[in-house]
Amino acid sequence: MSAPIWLLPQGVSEILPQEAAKLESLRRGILDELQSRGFDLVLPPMIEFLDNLIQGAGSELTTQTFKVPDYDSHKTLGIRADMTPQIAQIDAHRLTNNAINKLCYIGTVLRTKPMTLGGSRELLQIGAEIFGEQSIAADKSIIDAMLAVHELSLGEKSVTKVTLSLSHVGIFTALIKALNISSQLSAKIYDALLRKSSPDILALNADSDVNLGVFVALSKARGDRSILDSFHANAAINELLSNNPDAAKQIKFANQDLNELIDHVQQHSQANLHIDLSELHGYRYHTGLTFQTFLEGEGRAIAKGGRYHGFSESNDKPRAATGFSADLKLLASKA
Amino acid sequence: MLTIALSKGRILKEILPLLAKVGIEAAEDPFESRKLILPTNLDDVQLLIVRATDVPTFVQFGSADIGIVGKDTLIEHGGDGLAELLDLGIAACRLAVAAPVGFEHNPSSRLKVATKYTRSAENYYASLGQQIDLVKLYGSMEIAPLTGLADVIVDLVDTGSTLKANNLVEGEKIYDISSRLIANAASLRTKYAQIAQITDQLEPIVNAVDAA
Repeated sequence: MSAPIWLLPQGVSEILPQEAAKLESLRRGILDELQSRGFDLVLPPMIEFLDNLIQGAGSELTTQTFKVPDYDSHKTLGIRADMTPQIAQIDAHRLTNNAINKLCYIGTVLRTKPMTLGGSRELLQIGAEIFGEQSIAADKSIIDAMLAVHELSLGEKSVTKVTLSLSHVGIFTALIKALNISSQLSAKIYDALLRKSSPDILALNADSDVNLGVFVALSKARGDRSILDSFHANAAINELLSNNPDAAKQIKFANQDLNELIDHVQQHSQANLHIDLSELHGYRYHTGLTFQTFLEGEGRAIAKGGRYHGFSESNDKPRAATGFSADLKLLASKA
Repeated sequence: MLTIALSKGRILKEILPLLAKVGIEAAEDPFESRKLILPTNLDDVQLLIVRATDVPTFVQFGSADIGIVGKDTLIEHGGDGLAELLDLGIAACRLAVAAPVGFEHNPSSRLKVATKYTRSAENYYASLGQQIDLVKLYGSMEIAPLTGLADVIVDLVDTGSTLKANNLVEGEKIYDISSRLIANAASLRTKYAQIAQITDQLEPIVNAVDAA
């Protein structure tokens, strides 16, 4: 028995008229919305030199990227698995104006493996980024745009079904630095936090010479906004911060950012809020506030984003950047 | 609705009394019933009865919001998209190497290892810098060294009586195993209050058992 030749590879699908019409109208609606919010559309190429495509990104993006030999340049090309680094390259090398650049984009990205069980390897990535704006005003604009995209795809009332989860990777960084933890141990703590494993953090604490009580507290620091206060009131955190003004300052700034963002979202949106200080998604890439959206009945995040370092021409000072992206196909399937 | 994935067997026997302590009881006896989705005494909680190795899959996908699974299965599956909230301390055992009585590995040959836990075995021997050949089996691992299929096995050991009965001796321990409460990363946000309530109620109960 041989399989018919027209069968598609795993994680690749065709979109039929009804679905395609819905997707297209949503695409137009979202791009109009983002452009009305001051984001300019850019279209980076589908394929680029691999080295450039994965520059500054973690090893996960490297394994996720399809590679093809280029018989012209004799170099390896990559088919983009994420458009965000491409947008940052456009900001740094093509719009060299040092101004605040607000860019949006949509395009197909390919992945060597689906991100989830039985998931797609061919995503229609849509997103928006702001470059050159340090202040939290940029993060507010990005979150507003992200929630507006959800509203467009789910219908206005359905935004009450969205849960916005906020975190700040600066807290983890400050704690690691304050305790002067070796890179080997910090890799283990990071790995356990990625899996949100309090039991593994407790086991590391039992084996370690350094008291890791602050990470036990961090691994459980989730809930409503009151956890920001209770995390601070935690004895282990308190003790560490009273002896370490640098870390205390960094965590205070992170807290201020989170509080300001929470106030903003509560004033302007019906979305549910969740705080999870243990969340370290994209830690190797993100540098401050991070956010994800969730919907009941969908086992993974719908949209993701946060603060990161963009590229800069001189490379001496990283360019402030924040943004979000989502898979339009996933968004449309939830409508 | 909160869905809890459980597996039949030893874990189920030990978890049902724990769940009862936090007020969740199956409406039918899970050992008797042929239903795989069981209602409970609570309108908004149901149980999903699946194979132990499938518990992380159902929870990762979001078909179940939380689940109870052995650390061995969790390590093999990987933690992506899951939160490991609590060590329940039940169904405790260890993952260990076992070899025939008197076995000595000739360092000039590659060690053949039979196991169901290929990821754990691979990582363990890699950490020792030792090259191995893996043979994946699904059960009755103890036969592998006796029939020449492998030199040693990596398997769960509880009392060690099965090893003994098959002329094997327990070697190096790889790690301790017990059951964990896991949650889907999205459910942990969208159904936080319900999941936190169960976790907060279970934590002092399992800690009290640990301390005893």
